[in-house]
Amino acid sequence: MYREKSDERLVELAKGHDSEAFGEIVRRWERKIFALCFGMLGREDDARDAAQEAFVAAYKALGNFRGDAKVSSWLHRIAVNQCLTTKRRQKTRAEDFLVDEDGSEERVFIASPSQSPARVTEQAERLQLVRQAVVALPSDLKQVIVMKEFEEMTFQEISETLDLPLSTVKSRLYTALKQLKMKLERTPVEVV
Amino acid sequence: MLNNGNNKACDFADEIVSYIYDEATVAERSKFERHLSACGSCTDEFAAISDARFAVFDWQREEFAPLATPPIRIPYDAAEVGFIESVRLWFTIPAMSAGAALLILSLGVAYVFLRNADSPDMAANVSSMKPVDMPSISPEVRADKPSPDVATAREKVSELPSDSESSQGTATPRRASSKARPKPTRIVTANNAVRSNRAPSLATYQDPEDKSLRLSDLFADDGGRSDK
Repeated sequence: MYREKSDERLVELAKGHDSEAFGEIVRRWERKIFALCFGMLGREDDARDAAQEAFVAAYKALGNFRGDAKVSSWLHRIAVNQCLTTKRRQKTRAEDFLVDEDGSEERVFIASPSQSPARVTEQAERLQLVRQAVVALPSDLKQVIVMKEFEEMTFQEISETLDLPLSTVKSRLYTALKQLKMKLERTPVEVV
Repeated sequence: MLNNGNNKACDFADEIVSYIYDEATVAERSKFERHLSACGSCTDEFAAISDARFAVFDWQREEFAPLATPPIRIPYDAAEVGFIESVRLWFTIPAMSAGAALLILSLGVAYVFLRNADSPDMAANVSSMKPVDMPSISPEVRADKPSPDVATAREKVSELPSDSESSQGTATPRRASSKARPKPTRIVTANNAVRSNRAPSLATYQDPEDKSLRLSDLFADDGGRSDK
């Protein structure tokens, strides 16, 4: 019954303490919000916590949703704010990627059987660099590239969600990829 | 768009990202491909942007795609906003804060106003107020058209003893019998002046005898001057 309703209608029902309606919103958006948080934070556990907190914050803020923006925009805004809060907390605790990447963080990378160990190591290190470079991007640029790559949204959808002109979305994505390229070129991955 | 080779800038940034993400129209794609075949710097730029894009794509595919979506648990009971929290949320919105402040102020003013209006002390004060001693005014009233107030006053005065002096002013003594009526002389006092249909005439104004003590009397010589 709830699957056929629009996001805005579900929010209206959820405002009336209909937990099933809000549950349907969570089911529709949990993967995308998790992807957004992963791309913004770069770590699974941080992304999981941020996504959880974002949905709880959204439930508490149902009364403030006036319907003048799309539900997707509203959820994205909450999730991005939650990610920024998480990053600020991490900065306060002096937990940044440079400290973690010394080896204290375990990361599972399943390599193809045909790949040599050197190749596997190279790839793991490259992924690590990409993760660091993306997370280090300015928030407005990072948000666009994460929404495009992780949430697999079209330019039009990003434009509507962020309430930005289409050309601005494309320009920001271009700038983000340009900066990423420069960062990756500065730190080449050495193959042992 | 600027490229690493410091060549002339080509304004194809939007077209590059649209092409890379396969969101260009057929016409845009054709136009961009024709330009790439003619512009070496844009080709290098396109290659660099594509490389960065696929690095992110690889990261997403290798690290994020295999992850299961974590279950989201909403504490529906605990997450419901309490009364105090909902009141606090009201005041976090500037417009609502201003409206709430205005409403509280209006209620406060209304409360004070109503309290003073309904105060029993106020009513008692009103009833205990003594009429101010004002000079009596005796206008000439036409006998053929006595005013209703005069008739009422006449009846009341007729009930008074002949040698009585009321605190409301000098009353013309009236005969017990109403048959032989003297020429009506209407005495206008402070209490019935407002009910009068005619304005009092100053020609017949009589100053009341002023018996109040004056400061000058305290310093007057023996025998002092008499009051008016």
